[in-house]
Amino acid sequence: MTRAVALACVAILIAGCAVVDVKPLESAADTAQLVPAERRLWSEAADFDAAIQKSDQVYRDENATTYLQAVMDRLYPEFKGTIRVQIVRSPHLNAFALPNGSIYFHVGLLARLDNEAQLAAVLAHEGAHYIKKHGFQQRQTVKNASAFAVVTALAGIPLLGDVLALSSIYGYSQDLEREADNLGYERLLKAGYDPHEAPKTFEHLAAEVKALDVKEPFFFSSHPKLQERIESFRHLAASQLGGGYKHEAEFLAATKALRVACLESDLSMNRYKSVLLALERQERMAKYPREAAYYLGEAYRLRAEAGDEALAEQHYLKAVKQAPAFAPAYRALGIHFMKKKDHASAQNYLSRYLQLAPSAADAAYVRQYKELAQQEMKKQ
Amino acid sequence: MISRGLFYAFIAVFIAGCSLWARVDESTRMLERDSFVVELPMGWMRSEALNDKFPTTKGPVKGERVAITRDGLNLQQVDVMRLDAQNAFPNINKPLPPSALPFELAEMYVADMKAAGMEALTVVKSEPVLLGGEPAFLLHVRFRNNQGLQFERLVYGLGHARGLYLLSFQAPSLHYFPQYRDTFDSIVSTFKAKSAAQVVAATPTSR
Repeated sequence: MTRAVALACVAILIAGCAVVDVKPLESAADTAQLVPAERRLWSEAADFDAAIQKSDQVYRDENATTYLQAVMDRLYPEFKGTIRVQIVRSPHLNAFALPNGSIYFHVGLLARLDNEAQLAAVLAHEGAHYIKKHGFQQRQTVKNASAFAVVTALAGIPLLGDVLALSSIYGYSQDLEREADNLGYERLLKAGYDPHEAPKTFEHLAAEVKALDVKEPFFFSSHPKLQERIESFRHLAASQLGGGYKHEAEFLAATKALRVACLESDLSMNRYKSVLLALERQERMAKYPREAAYYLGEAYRLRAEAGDEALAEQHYLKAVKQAPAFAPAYRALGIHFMKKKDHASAQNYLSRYLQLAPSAADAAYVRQYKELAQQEMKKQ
Repeated sequence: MISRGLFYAFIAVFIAGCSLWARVDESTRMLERDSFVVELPMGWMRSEALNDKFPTTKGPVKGERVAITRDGLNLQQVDVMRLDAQNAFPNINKPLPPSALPFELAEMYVADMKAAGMEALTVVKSEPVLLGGEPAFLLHVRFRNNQGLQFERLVYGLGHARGLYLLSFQAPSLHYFPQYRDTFDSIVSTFKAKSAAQVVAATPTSR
């Protein structure tokens, strides 16, 4: 059975779930009164939390994590301390809530948002899954849990192989997702965010999924589910006037390091298309630090189509000009000119790299290539 | 209640699916494959079932492979392999670039590992080396498995006319990695890639 077939089965099983009457949480105090079945679900979620902590998947950026938590607390002030937001070191377009109030936000999704209002749209939606106990509802309505487990295993889902993981990561039934949209939207308005940013969040995620031909099975990279969110939020925002805050500068400042780390992560996985999409447009590039031109140059180098070599050189040079203390651009230029057999330029740039980053992990290569360039110059 | 016949059928299927292991002895110590020669450590176990199988996220790919261990693959695993140029980096769908520098091959190898699901791996060191007398890369990476146990992996990589050669050693950081690192270095020192028409002498040369 292929992954696609397995995921189709998952979708059918989830879609078949009806909404059951479960009393939602009204405040943090309600979490002390869980029924035994729900307590078991929380225990599974705690196991997931422990596993993800141990597996090195948590992105440790205190500034960004504190910022996300503050946005969540503004959306759901009565649950402060019970909804805990963490960032996951993964380039995928995903965010999910566990039944115990743990919210995981992937770096890949976070790096693609433009402002705090868009971030709040996703957090409000995920927070609503927790408040409305959607994980527990889904568990109650899935009659054939063993079928779920088999399908999950075939889909290659890591860490957790049951209903909890499926619902939380891959999304809930259409009714439950719509309920999360409605409550999330109410919270966005109440917290003072611009409601018109919500559909934009999903619109540009959908555009990216389409442009990159993303085949990831996650909720926020599923085109049909994004389309549902767009329609749902457009409908909700239709009666609202503009206004409310976007907090773009705050968002960009808090996520600066994370967005650069996402570019590095994408490049290190050969996902150059994501980097091209993030940086090719001047207005998006302007939201990144000055050295971002280097990452665009790297994306062209990895794409390696006709004309990309020249584009890469152009952007490396731009990075050197705009951020003269940023070492990687010099290494890239050194290797680029070495391949072009311009040994004098290669030696210059490689020397500069070693001055700026003498103990870099790849310094031994650079020393060797610098020597090679020197030898070639002597021969000429 | 499971019937006796069904029970034996399960056992037969189970046994058939088990890996076959052979202890490396004097007669099998020197291993000569179609595209490389290498000397294996005496007393280690060589998996017959893993020979030439390369499961990837894109399905199985072609090449040659020898996997050995002393106490079990989870405790220490050494792989000596050659991947066809077309399938050199199967998880990122990239062939072996003909003029790539070892530095670039190391970068592609890391991308391939990450694309295979090891997104959180850390590169400890990446440096140029000679493998069988030819310019290659040496990578040292660190990662945790799903249970949180930290592993380290050393990988020598060589871009060659016959494809991408990889010699790797992976073990838990605690005890096993430092304990068997020297053994791996000894294996690496005996490795020699064979050119297409080469008839290789039984004794491999040092790197």
